[in-house]
Amino acid sequence: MTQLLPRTESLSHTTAIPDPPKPGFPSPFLPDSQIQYAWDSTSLGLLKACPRKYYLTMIEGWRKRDESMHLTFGIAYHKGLERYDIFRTQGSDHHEALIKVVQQCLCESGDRVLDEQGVEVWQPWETGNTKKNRETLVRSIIWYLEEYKNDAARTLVLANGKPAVELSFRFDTGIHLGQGKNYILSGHMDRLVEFGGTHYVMDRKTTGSTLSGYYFDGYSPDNQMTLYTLASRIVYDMPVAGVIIDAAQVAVGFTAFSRGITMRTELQLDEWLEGFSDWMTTAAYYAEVQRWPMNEMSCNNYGACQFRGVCNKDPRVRQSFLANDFHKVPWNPLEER
Amino acid sequence: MSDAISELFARDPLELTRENIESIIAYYRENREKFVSGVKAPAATKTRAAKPKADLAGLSLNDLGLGDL
Repeated sequence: MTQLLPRTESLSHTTAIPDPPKPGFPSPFLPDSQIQYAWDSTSLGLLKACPRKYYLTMIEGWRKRDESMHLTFGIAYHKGLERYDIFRTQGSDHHEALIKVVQQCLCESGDRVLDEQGVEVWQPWETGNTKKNRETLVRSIIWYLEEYKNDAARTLVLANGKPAVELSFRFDTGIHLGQGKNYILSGHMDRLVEFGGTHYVMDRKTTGSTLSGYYFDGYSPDNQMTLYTLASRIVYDMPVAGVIIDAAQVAVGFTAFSRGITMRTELQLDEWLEGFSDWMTTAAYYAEVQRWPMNEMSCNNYGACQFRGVCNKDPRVRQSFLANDFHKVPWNPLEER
Repeated sequence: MSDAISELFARDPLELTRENIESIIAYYRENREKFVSGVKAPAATKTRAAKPKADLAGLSLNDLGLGDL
């Protein structure tokens, strides 16, 4: 390929090395390199959408300031529902489990801070967002659990006797990376269930979108749902047919729910893993040349990429825009929740 | 959100009693039942400046530029 500019003068040459991971967790990158060996659906989705977006998020570790709020809301929502599943499998009835979940959710949606007199005071979570805040979080959890109080989907029990909830997985793909290492796939699944005689992964989603057929069509094909189906077959040895998506539309005055199912065949799973291998070859090339090109065709998807306002600036001033509108919260696929 | 529930939300959660939590749950249960049965939460009232009404009775065709008809 013709090299228009020598690499050292390339406008998109990158030298950043990922920051060290949080204590207690391994880095998903090979030491002192941009080569990621442990992948989850988030990081893979970023790479597939746009290599530059992947680079800014995964390697430089930038995250939009208000994106943290959506992530915190999503994690707290999942945690509340997962706890409910555990309490129920431990023998609590619906009402008792609901009380415990609401109490824990209230306790965790805020911080204890020192006031001016040095006295510890309770400071509830303030998002400044009308849709995603402490109140809509508690409302969404209660409404969901009321909606599915008599759910036909039953939590499966794993071979070790534990209920199949809060499942962090990690498996070796057998795809060689070099240096005697293989690529790893990891992630977190909400729950494995039996529904109508078939086994599924259950994934809970929160969205601001209306829950229509169009919304659920977006999950087939879908990176995350295929990985979850694959992981449950490999890691938990469960004959899972696909994923049940329990979606919650969180609005200012209500939370609405809808359920959709997305199926995957054995051949679709094989095809996805083959594609993963090809993507790893591509990522390794970008890491080697230290250039992560923009995919301009992705900039306007899903209401526009968060980095559009950075990528549309002259390369010399992009770091200032990043520092102003983003903060560094590295994403680590190997971090357990 | 009612004042009583707002007050519970503002309180240190470690000071909430079981009855307090049950009140929160009961409030949202009732809230959901209303939503499911189609009763919408009251929207914030917007006050609009009244538009001056035209005195149609006092208008002639000339006033409307139609005097030649």
